[in-house]
Amino acid sequence: MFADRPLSFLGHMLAVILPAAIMIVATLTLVPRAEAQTVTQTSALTFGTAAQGAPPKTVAPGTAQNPENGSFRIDGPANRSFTIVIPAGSIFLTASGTGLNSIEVSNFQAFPFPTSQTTAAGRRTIFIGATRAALATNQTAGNYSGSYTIEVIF
Amino acid sequence: MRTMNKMKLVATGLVAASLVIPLNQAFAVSGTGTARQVVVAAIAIANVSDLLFPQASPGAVAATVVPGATENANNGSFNVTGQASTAYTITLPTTINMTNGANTIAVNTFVSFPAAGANGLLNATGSQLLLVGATRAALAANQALGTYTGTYTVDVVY
Repeated sequence: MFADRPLSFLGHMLAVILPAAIMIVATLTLVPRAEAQTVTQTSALTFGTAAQGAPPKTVAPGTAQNPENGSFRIDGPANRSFTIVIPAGSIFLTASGTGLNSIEVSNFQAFPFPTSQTTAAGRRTIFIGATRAALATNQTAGNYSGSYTIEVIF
Repeated sequence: MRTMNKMKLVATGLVAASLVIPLNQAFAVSGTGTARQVVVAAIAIANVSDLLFPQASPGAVAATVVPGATENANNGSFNVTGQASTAYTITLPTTINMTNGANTIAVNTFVSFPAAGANGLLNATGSQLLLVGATRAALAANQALGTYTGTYTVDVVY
């Protein structure tokens, strides 16, 4: 029993030291998760100015920023693949005032899509397009806006 | 005792491993964006008065009606309505014919006030009077007598 003690002591030491070492490893591995992971709009999706009765208008996502397409900056882990989720249905832009004051926006598109990868700096920009429905001839004049959500899954 | 310590170590290792595995789990991040559209009142144009060339005899020289800057007895006029304080573009015809049965008189060189092109501007209440003049061709010496009429189209667009 006595002869066994030094070994037992060593065993206890290891039992204390090893979890500490593993905790350090775990902490290092956790660092990427502590990085900012955000999807931030950098420009609004802009259909411009149109008169009552105007036909539908499609803004293409394009492959670079332009005055019309929407854009988002993705910040996440470096060199990491992710999946992009865009609105599947319609959203409605609304304006203040009375009468017919909503406009449907549908057929959202994105570039890149449906997957992409962050850069070594952990970034990527996504461009968004969609189709604005035809405007009614009695569409209330004014400034319309609505919001939509883009999701990325790492 | 040694065996127990080994088991403890193995168990500790397993716990550590299970801490690492969730790091590769998928996670989602989302952001909200804005979509915008400005809607302006549709532009419309309605004829107010006809373009009227004064009475003339066969063989008369060409006659011009100027658009002027205000309504008068000869110039044609249109009421343009739409979005307040908004510019618009005017397009005039080049040549039309006035007819009286099989007889014709050409009308050309249409001029407007404001001038053709991106010169229209609706006022604060969303309207503007658009005046039109043109030149009636010289009448033939044997021009049939009668009343000649024709139509012309003025286009306005934002």
